Amino acid sequence: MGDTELAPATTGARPDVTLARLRRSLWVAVLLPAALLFCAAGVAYLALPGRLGEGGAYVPLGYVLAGAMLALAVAVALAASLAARTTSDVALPLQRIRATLDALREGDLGARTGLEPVDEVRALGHALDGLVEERVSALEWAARENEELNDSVIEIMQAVGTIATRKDLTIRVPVTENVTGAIADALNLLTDETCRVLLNVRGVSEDVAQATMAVKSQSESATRAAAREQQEVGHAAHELAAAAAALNAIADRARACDDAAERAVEASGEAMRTVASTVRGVEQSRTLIRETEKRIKRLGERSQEIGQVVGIIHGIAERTGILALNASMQAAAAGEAGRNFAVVGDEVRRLSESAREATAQIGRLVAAIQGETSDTVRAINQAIAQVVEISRLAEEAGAGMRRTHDDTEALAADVRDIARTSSEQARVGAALFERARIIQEASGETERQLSLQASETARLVDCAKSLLDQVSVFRVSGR
Amino acid sequence: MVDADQQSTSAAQSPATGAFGVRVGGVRLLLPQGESLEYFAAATVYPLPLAGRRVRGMIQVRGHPVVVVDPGADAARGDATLVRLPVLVIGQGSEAGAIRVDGAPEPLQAAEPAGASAGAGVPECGFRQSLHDGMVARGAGRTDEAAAMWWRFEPRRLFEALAGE
Repeated sequence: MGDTELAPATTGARPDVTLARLRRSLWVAVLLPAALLFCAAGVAYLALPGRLGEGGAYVPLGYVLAGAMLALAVAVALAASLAARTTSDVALPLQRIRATLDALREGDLGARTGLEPVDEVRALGHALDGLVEERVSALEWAARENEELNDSVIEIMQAVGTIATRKDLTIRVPVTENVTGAIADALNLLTDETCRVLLNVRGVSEDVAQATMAVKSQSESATRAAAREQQEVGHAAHELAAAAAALNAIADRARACDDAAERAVEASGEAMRTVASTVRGVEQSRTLIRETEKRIKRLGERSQEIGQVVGIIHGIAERTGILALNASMQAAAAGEAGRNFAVVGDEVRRLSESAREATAQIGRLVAAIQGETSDTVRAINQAIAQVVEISRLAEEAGAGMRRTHDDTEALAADVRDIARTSSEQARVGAALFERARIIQEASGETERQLSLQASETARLVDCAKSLLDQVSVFRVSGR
Repeated sequence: MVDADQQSTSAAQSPATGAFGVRVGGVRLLLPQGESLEYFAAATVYPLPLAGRRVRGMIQVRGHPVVVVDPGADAARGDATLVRLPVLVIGQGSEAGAIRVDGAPEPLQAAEPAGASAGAGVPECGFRQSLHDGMVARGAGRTDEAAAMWWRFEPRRLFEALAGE
């Protein structure tokens, strides 16, 4: 099983010499006693009483045991000789190997076995020498590498320390060819990235500072605006209160106007009825005046007839007068004989003159009556015209009164709407006033919150400046 | 008319004197006493063709045609229109003549008006020459009008003078 493991390929010794010897010694030490024991066992078997009683040969047990013991002794002797030989071939090299290993453990890197690879053990020692030689060389190389590595690490640490001390990210860590070169590259890359990040952080910090300043300015403006807003809201609340009071007053006045409008509607209705009654009265007066006009016209016609009769009488009187005149002139022409006749003619003439004078007076009276009648008719016509005009005006007044009544009713309805709307507006005004009060409180709270925000913003500005100062400590490329 | 009424009323209040006056063309003429006089307030006057310019036409007085002279007519009309005019017929029968007057004759209170010589102080009128020819004397009557002058004339001569114009 361990043939391949026990045969080192680098010893240079003859292979399997010691192993073969050991294998042979083992075979002898094992197989020979085993064979003897087998033989002894066979004999013992054959010597069993059962076997023998059935006609077999009988072998005494003492012979069997003696043979076994002999075989065992031979085997032990062979094993002892083989052990001595093996000890001389194995133990000494192993002792030298052990001593060498002890020396090496003691730190004597120059200790070697000095064995030649004649057999496996010596080959082992020889290989051990080679191995030690290689290990020592490797250790020396490793020591040199370690020294170089230490130097590189120290340089890196110095560079990092300089960077940390000066906070100069432009400092480059020297890059070597050993394993620290990658670290230096990594550190340089880290500083580059840090530098870039710091630049970004600085830019962001500046932006944050500017934005914070803007926010602070805006916050201050918002605070002032909130204060002004609160003031304006206060004014608005005051004005809304005044407006609500005014609206209440308007509502009261609108209700009063509503009552007045109701009274006006009733009054206009009464006036309209009065006007209608007046129109009817005027119509009756117009009819009565027309009847009177007709009667007066008939009276005028009668007076004209009287005038005609008077004219006839006047004509008769005229003719009588002329006749009397002619009689008088004839009597005068007759001289003394016609004196009495002249007296009669003169009396007739006087009578005719009296009649003519009476008819003239009657005529004048009739003419006066006719004139008065004409004047009365004209006056009645004028009165009728005036009555017609009054009737028309009354009808127009009635129509106007109806329009006024309708307008007044519409006005009353509008006033009622105004009263209702004014009440609603007064209620809304009160609600607005309450909301304005709430807005004022909210505005005050907003102002307080904005003040807090302003203080927090001021702190944020300080933090941004501090961050900028902190970031500005690092010296980075390009800045 | 009013004046005539007043005059008539005044005359009625005074005793009759038998003298009458009449107005012709605005001239007061004293009618001759003892002469038949008849007044027509509206006599129908029939025109006479080719008559003188002062001849107005003819009227019919109880069957007798009477020529009517009009001292106020100034030109021959030559028309055949009937007109009704106040005329005074002086005289009777075929000896009668008519003259257009301004109004009815008036009885005068003055029984004997003051006379005047013919041709002296003939008033200004449209028929002044005929009046001058027909006038026999100037007289004065007494009526209510103060110092009213009445002209006495000869009817036949006045008619002839007017008809001859």
